[in-house]
Amino acid sequence: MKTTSRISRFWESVHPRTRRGTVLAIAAVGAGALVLSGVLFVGAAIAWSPYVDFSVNREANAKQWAALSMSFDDSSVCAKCHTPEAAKLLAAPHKNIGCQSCHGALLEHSTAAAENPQNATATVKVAVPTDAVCIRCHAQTEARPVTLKQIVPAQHYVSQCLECHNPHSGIANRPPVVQHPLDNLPYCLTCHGPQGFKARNQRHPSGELTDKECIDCHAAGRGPENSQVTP
Amino acid sequence: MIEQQTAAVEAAPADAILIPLDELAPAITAASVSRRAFIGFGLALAGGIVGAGALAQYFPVFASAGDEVSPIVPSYNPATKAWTFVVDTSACIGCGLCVVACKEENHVPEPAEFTRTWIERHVTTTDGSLYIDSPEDGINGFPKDSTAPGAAGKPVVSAYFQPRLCMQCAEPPCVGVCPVSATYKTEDGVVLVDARRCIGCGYCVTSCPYGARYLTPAGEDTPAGTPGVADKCTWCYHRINKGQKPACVEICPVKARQFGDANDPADPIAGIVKATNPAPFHTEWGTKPRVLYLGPALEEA
Repeated sequence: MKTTSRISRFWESVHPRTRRGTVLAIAAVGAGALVLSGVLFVGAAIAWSPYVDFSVNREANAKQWAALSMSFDDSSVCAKCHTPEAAKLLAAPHKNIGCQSCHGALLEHSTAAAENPQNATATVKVAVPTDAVCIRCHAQTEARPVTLKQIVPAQHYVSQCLECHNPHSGIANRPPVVQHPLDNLPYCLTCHGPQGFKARNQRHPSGELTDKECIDCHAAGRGPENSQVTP
Repeated sequence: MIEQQTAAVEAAPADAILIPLDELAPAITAASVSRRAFIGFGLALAGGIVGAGALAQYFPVFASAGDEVSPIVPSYNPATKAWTFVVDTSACIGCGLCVVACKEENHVPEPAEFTRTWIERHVTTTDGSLYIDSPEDGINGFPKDSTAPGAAGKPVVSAYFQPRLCMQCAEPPCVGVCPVSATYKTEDGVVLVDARRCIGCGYCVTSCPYGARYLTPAGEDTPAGTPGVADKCTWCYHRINKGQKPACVEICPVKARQFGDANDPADPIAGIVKATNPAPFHTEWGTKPRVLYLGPALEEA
């Protein structure tokens, strides 16, 4: 009580103009502090709230897109190790086709190969393409350019495309031509079936075949080179 | 007459508004502060703002998310690039490898309704009808005959495959309609989606006249790692930044898709464009599409 009255007495003794000045000065400092804290508060709210993650930042986002990892490599790097295949391919009808079109994404393999050139295949194997890969391009389909070699899969001897066709060289193996007369002989599979005395080899389809299907390939002048498709 | 009227007009409002100064004086005195106080107040305010700015230097409250991202490819300068994409519809054989490669490279969800690129088969029959089919976006290639309803059995006059992707329009409607500014055009002209901002409203999907966008499904492995957002072809932005070609271009066995930087003298793309004169199609839609086409697609459009 005593202190309060002393302060108020002191305050009353001060010149009114000085009193007003003091009040204004305190108000000014207060206002400054308020502005400062306001700016800092908003800044802190932006910085530490989750919303900063959603702010417009084109450069940051473009960099995030650019930083994504790849699966496919540039197919020209394959020739560094696979020289014979690449050399053969350059002279073949498939010369414009990149390795990954048939073999699939190979960046993982080429990365492993760059790190360990001696043992790349042990790390990441390269797939041997299945028939489906060949059929994708070479099945007869409406709208395909006529210059593309096309087959009707149902009418084509399909065991494994790669048994006869070499997609790297473009050369196809002709099946052996029947050397003996065919008149007055039983069904081909009588002798050439799995139990026959001259059994067909393992590359043939395991199911039953008609004689026509056998002759389609094994008659003279037949085979991949003269059939509807060459690789 | 005229002079009198003018005088009256001037006099009347002056009389009505004028308040004697001695009546105003107390009010003015009450509202006024000393010059020193006024200047002091102003200085304090300015000090507050400057102080906040100075403090912000030491406490980086205004740091943006981009500051922490270091350049992935320091040599990549988007401003110098003139990315050019040429699609030759007379060369395409519809094998679908581009769709396969795109899905694998970009983690596009498997179901056919989600795709960044697709192949259409346009078949014109003898009765003049055009049938378009794209079974599963062409990802498994095409069956022998068109699967479009009504096309079966009709004799075909002409047919071709049309590979499709985002046209990376110079005036993209998808950017304009986005309510949250999630999609934008980069300096090198590729339209990207900021998956952090995207709310998945699908306006952009609707706005694209080329149908190049889709919404990623929830809970799947998605291109941007964020499910439920709009996604589209980026011309494999992550690949072209590293000097690689987009996956679909890399995989195409017949060079129906070609890509390059027209500003790079070593890149054959500028020569291809000069020699073959490809053109974008449906320019009447006004979006200034940037994928250039060759072959029957242009005649049809």
